[in-house]
Amino acid sequence: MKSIEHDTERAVVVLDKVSKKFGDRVILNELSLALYEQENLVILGKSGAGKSVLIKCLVGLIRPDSGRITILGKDTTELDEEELNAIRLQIGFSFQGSALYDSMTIFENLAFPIRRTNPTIKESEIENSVNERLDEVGLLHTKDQLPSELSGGMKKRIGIARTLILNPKIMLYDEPTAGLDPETASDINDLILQVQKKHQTSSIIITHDLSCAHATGDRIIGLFDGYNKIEGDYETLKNNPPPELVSFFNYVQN
Amino acid sequence: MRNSIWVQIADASLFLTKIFRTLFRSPLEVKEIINQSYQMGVKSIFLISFTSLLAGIVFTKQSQPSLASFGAVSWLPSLVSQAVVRSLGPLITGLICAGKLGSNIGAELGSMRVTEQIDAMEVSASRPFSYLVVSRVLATTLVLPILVIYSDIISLFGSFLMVNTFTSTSVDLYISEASGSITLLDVNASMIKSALFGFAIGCIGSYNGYNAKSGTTGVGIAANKAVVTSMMSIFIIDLIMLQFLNFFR
Repeated sequence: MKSIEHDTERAVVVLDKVSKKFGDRVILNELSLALYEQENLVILGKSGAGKSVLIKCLVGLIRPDSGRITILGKDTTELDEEELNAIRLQIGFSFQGSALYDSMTIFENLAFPIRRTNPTIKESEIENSVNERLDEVGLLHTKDQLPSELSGGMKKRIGIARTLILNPKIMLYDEPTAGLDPETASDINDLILQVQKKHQTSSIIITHDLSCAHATGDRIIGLFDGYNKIEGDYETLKNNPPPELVSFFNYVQN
Repeated sequence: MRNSIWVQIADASLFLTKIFRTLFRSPLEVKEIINQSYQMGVKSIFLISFTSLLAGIVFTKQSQPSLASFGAVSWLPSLVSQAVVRSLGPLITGLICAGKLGSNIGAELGSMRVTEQIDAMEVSASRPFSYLVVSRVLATTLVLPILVIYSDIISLFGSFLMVNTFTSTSVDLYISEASGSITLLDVNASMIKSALFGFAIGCIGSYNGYNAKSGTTGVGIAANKAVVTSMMSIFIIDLIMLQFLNFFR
């Protein structure tokens, strides 16, 4: 198996030969990769390629069968729940379906993680943080609404605002443009770039959308057969697409 | 199949252990427990009032001819009060709550699981297990005894209405007759039993909801399993408590 070398010294996230199987089906096959500081790393692959499993392994929602995952210098596969939670505070996870708490208003959705992680914080401070984040994604006017009253694009933006509320160092986006029209998808791509610039975050963006990969990615990894077969920037991959990515580029050109 | 049953038992045992561990290690979610208890109480009160009143009326009406044939109609208040406090009240309330609260907890947590809301809480270090599961288990454990007391009172009121039409018994006499036959052991046992019913409903509903799978179908399955298993557990707990209490009577 071809292995891509990484400079693990500079990396904020390192995956070292991570494997995961569900039954007999191999999802991640000794996958190794690194995310560097203030970098937007896109992980591109078809549906069912294991992208979402990979991102869930990163935050400890799924435990890998073998291999090591190092985040900000700590091997998360060996941490107990308390230690893992301390690492999770440094990570913002934007879910594919936004995962907003549907019984809470938008304000409560953003206030909830603050109240849970910092019980002694003053209400005025919570209100300021929530207003600031909602303003950042241009949806301050929705704060008293319920998630069911918002469109898909608005939910995505609120989801991103909620992940930013705890000031994470690392952002993980799971299919940020899935199910959105091209214009809204483009707005979300701009928001991802804006977040990186303003908050100096390092991001992993999981997608099967090549235009999202193009717009947001500093570096692209192609995930096929459970490991990273291809790695490079968009132009390099476009000018000389490997067989696994030919169909992606053909689709965009057509 | 055998393997799957053992895996489920092991999984449920781990879930139960996690509830106790979280209960003793994490701070209590007082606000959420009060909120859940209030919601659960309000949601169940109408159905419990209706069913308990009817149960009291029907039980009294059906017992009256049997007692009358022995010339013992005056025993009706003590017969009904013993039946209500020892068994009928906790059982009616337990079964209603198994249906109403069990399905509610199973569906609510199940829907949060399949829409990744629980995952979102977990990745933001918001400790969803303590917030969602332990608070609900404590709320059902606290609320059930209160609802059982309420159900007992309503059932006895229904019974009084019936007794009053047969014998023109006054309220004072009825209360005196009914309370005279109930011991402290009966009341304590009823409270412990209802708390155990509540604990079982909370644990079973939460377990099925928290571990729901397979999209919207999974939510339905979780709610259904929560109700069926809770109802079964209520009868099992009732039977065990009955055997246990025989040692003290």
